[in-house]
Amino acid sequence: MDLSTLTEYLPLYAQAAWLTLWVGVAGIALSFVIGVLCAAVRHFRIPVLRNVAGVYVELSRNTPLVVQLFFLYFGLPKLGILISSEQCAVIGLAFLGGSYMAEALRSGLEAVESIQTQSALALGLNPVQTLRHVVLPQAVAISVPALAANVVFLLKETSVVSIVALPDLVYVAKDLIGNDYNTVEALALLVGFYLVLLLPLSLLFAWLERRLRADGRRAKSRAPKTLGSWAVKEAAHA
Amino acid sequence: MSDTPQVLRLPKSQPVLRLDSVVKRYGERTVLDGISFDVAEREVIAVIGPSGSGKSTLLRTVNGLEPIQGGSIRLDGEEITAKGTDWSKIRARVGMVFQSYELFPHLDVMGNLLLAPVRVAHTDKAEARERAMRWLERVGLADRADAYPKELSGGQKQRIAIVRALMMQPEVLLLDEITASLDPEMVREVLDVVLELAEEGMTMLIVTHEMAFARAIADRVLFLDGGKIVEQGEPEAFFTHPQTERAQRFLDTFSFTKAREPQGLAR
Repeated sequence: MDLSTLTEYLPLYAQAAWLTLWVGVAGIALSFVIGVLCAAVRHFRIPVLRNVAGVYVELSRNTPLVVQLFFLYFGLPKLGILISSEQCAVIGLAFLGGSYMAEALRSGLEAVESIQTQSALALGLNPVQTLRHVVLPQAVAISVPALAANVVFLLKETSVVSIVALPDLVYVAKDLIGNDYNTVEALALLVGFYLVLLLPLSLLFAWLERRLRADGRRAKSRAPKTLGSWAVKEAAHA
Repeated sequence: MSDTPQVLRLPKSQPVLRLDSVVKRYGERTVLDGISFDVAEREVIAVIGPSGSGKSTLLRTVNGLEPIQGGSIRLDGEEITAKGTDWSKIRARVGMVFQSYELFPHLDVMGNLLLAPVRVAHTDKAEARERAMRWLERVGLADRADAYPKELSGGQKQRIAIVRALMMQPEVLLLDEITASLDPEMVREVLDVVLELAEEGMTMLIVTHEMAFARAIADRVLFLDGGKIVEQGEPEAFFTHPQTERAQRFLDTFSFTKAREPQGLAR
């Protein structure tokens, strides 16, 4: 491995990493918004919209991101809709991530038993207060590990956006290998940069999960009856 | 004794609760089939009957957790089953305690007790906290104010659940089989709290399988079967001389007579 090549490539990778991060953060933020909406619509069984959300979730989860990106990048222009590579990547990521976020949130909502809701209502809390003070705090605590796993998953998924001509980390690596044949350096930097992006995030989430698990153990009133957060996490990724 | 919390008592000339021909159906199935009775202020009514007779459903219709399909329910003369009822307002006046406690697991004991007074009744937090501490002292759990539900025994949880309902100073308290999931030795500590409330004049509607408790606490017993009140009366009369064959059969299931000759090696 040649050190001078590494230092020469470094700025290129830094720029690409910035793009990867930007696309990832924007896509994940959007997917969270979509997820909240879909989870709410399905959990509260809002007619018509819940069916739309259901179809979306299945479509999104059962097609690969590459195909979704192809559709956006090459398909939409045929319908007269022109979008940039960045927009395409962000929308594609949000389309994929929205369904995963929705399912993570929904399983959290469903793990809160309906008698908890009744108990809050019986005290005189209105439905909004019940959601805000009783259901959501429990649901989110249960959902957090699954949401965190989704964030890491989606950030990794950004590695396919180079197929819509977006100069992300993978794109830069392929480009440099094609130009200079410095395969080892190019790949080492590629792996290194993904690790730099993802490792701190994973460690942060692992720490968060441990904290939540401690609270969760304290917070479970009838452990065998309710679906534990770990079971929910498994279910969300099954 | 002015610093001991008391149950709220208002002078009333009319029944606190009046149920008139209440009908509850789940699809084709009729769960409550024309239930009518009054609950006077300070009266304690025990509702007993076989499982599936509609006892719990009956309680749940009173605070609107189950909408009814016929008849009416009045609270202080006001029809609460009319269209457009703000159930949140009614429920703030009607306390309910569930079989499975249903404390909020993400809140500590104090958090559970303060949620409704602060959010619903807009009670000053310090004042509510003070009231909560006095109640906790009364039920012997003052030292558990910071505990989470998970850290409490069943009996402790249920006492907290009762206090949580009392924090709203309800006019009526609905108790739905509150000792049914407790270990036998914890039943007593919970029932003692309820007995004390009865002595202080709390109006209560109690669904229970504890026949001795019903007999000791109730002013009146309602025996439900198949969604109907089959028999009602004073507890002593009901438990010693039930008038209906159905009630007799039900009470018989609680007593055992020895049918076998003693066996074994005893000489």
